[in-house]
Amino acid sequence: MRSRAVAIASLLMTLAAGAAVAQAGHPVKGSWSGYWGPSEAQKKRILLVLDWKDNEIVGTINPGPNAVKIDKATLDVDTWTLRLEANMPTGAGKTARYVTTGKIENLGSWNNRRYSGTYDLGNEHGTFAVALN
Amino acid sequence: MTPLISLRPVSRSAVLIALLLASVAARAQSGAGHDAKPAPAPTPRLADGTVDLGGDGIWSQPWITDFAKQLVGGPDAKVPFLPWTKAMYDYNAATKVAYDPEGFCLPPGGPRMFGTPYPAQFIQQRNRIIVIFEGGAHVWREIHMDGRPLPNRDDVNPTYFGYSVGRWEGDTLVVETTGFNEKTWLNFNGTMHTDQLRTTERISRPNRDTLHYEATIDDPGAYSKPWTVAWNIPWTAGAELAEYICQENNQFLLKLKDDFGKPFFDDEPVEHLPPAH
Repeated sequence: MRSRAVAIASLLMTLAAGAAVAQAGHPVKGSWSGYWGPSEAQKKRILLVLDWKDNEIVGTINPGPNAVKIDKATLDVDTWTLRLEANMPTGAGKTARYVTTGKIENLGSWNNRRYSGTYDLGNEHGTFAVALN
Repeated sequence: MTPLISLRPVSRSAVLIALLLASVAARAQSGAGHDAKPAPAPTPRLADGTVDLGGDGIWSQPWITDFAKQLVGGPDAKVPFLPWTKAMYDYNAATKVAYDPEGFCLPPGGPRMFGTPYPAQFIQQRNRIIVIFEGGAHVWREIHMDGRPLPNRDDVNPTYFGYSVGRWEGDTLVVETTGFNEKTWLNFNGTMHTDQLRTTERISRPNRDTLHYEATIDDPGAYSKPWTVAWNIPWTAGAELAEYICQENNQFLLKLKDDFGKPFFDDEPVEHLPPAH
């Protein structure tokens, strides 16, 4: 009896949490978190904050003291392919061109929408995957 | 005992049809005016002459599933989609509108509220009009009628119904609204909007039994130009709003799966990178 009550309470909390993050505007808008790297062993966390302003996609990579502004973003809505470009610091005052190309999937989901694909950072090549928070 | 009239089943049917036809013919001969629907009662008014949008009854809202079928502007009128709203409209059609926020018992928001098939009532006060809705999460709207200006959208907290100010233009209630959040669709068929949405609604009561509803949708983040939809809402005299709680026993959500085939509320974090190409 008690476990049933706990199960129902858990379900209601889950539904409430889902409703709280409902997002139905432009599908790229929001904060996305996940990983990127040249291999599974070398993966690093990444946070993207994307917005739809003046009919353009704008955003920031890893907001905070080391934030990187996205300076070019293009979305092909026929394939839902999103390409983001930025000048990423690589140390010693240098930067390299960071370009991600990937697909947005699970567009209708508010809590499991995905953006994944490949990236280039100078000569480095790898993959990334982020989910809408 | 022998019945007075004894007919086989087929013969009985033939007699009934003949009687029906005779009845219709007799009524037709009695003159069209006799059967004509009585003219609707005139528009009710408050003591000061203002149109009374209320009364003893409810507005029986129709189910407006597709705003493209309610467009004002003639047969050539089209929803002026931007590429992303058209693509999302197509995606929502392909996924059978499974992710409609209203299916999650969230409020329909904006003009869709008047096209959600649960009744509504208007409560008119001197400085505001309240519209209460039986369905769509059992919600209400407040329309400020005290002459205050419509605020800038950045100055108000974004909400499902936004911030509304109204005024009377003759017998038409004109309501302007801004400050919408992005948690709703404009209609059942998956027409999206952004938080730049601003609506102008024109509500009139040409007679006691009809509410004419018209809404202009202005959202430069989602559409290339403003567009207008309209429909009529019939009055049901003597009826009352009932209690309707969408959240109760919502079996739809328990079964809903996303495009990956996972339960919608299975909030699995991203942990693994996709394989390198």
